[in-house]
Amino acid sequence: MLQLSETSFADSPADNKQAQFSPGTPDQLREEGELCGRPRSIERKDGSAENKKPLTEAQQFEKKQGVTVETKDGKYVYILKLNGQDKELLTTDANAKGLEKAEAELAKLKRDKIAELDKVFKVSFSTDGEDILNQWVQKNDCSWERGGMIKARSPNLAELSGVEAALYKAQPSQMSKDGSQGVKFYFLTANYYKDDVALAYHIQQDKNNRQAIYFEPGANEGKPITEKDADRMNMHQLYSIEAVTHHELMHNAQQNLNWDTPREKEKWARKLGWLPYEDPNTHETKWMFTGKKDELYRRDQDHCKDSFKWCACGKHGGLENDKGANVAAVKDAKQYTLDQVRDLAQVKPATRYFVNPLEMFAEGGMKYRINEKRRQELLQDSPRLYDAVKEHDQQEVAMRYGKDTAGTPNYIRSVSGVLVKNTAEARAEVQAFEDRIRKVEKKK
Amino acid sequence: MIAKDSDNLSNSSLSAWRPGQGWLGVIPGKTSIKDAINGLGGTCETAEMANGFSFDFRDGLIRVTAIEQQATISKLWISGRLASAGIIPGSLKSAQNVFSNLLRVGRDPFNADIYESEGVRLAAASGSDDGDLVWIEFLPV
Repeated sequence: MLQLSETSFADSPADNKQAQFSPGTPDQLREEGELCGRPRSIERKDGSAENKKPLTEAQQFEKKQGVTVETKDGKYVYILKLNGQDKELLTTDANAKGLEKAEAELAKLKRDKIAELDKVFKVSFSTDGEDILNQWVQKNDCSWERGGMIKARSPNLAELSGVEAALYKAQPSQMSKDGSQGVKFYFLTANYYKDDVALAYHIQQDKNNRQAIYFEPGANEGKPITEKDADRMNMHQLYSIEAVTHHELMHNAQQNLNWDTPREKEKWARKLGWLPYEDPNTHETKWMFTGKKDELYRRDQDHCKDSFKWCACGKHGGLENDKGANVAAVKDAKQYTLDQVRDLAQVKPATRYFVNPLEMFAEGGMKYRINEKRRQELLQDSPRLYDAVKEHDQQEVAMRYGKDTAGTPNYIRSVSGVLVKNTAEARAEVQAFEDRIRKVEKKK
Repeated sequence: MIAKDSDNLSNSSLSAWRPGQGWLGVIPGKTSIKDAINGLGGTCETAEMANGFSFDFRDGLIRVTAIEQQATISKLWISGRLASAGIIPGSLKSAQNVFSNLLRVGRDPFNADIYESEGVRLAAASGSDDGDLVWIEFLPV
């Protein structure tokens, strides 16, 4: 059996395999902004080319197509690991010609899936060789310049399946604000920001004025397609393709609900314990995060090439040292790890990725929508975040699908994440789920 | 005095914008909070920041802030959505025609590219070389 997780990116087969195909350890990545941020301190740890064994033809095929190739009775069997099951797509001779035939068959499946997703959700996808835009490169003096043109590729079947899984639960967040079209998904062949590690970015306006999502190179390689697959493969510390898509579509929802104005953004951010603060020197708006005892934390850096640090700060936003005295630099401030801040937070972030209120909210939304298990985790871990995300979600659903004459929304999100008609039964199901979790939490 | 909508981009004085000139008649660091509020329409929503106050006008599309108990405003923020009313430039390239020496300095949490020049900071949608203006801020010099 050939699996990407076992061999493709390994420095040494004896090492921890899950860590090897991820760019950096999963913990580090989630800490420093794997999804949308631009981490400073993380280097790719998948080893240099010299350390890797060359990939076999079948392994190369797996990497490109996102399917598993197993050898059975002298034949190649092509398997898509989706929704907790192994779905056999086709069988060919176990040779180069067989792989060629499989590629042609998979291309047809891809075309059909793209057409279906366009029809159902109005979304579209990048094509092989499509120009996106010129890369950004940050120089050592912190200034920026444009690099080479980033080319796109078309998605593989695993990526289409992960996006599809998310779309069914994330709607209507795939739509543009005016409801006329869905987002476009781009799959990049070079990083959006040179030398930065990320999985994906939400883009307010692409080259054709369309809301878009960029998946970074390698973001989905070896990743579970859905959260169910992540649980099944014991890879829940990695973002599934479904989870990344949900996260980015939450940013699209934020754009649709006017988070581009400070007033709206702050309204939601305050519900999560974030407070705006204007840097008196630069006049940038920064964010402070509230702890359980109303103490405050701020994430900052002294230099553009430094990693961001969580620091203690006073009620006016100034950094503080361990004696509570004001200090000017991050290096002199009392510092905390992200896990400490997460534990100390008044509103607990849903995951370890909470670099600002937008990302914390997007992570909460991802867990709220993805499936019942994740929604339960969110409600157990962070009821205030759950309530805020639910309110936001319902607002977007009502905006898109309307209300009846009495002002009641026509649709609500069921516990599974799918939108359903807003009937008494549907509401009762959600209520029973929430009551059950809240009661258990109260007893603890 | 605060300018009105009619003082829009067709106003020839804008092509000669200078740092410290502010916008819409509001000069951060110089205009008092009272004058800014009166000039921007009088009606606004006030909110507390950690180190000051914000005042939102036009459904949140214009904001001024005041920090650290100063009597003057510290920043004027305008949404890119007001570009259609001619109040601010509509795109990065048109902004570059008004504000000289704009340099990219980073990105905002929505991945918009942030550019700065003395007295002004703006964000442009990042998916093209001439993205729409998402917001613009005028700062003290």
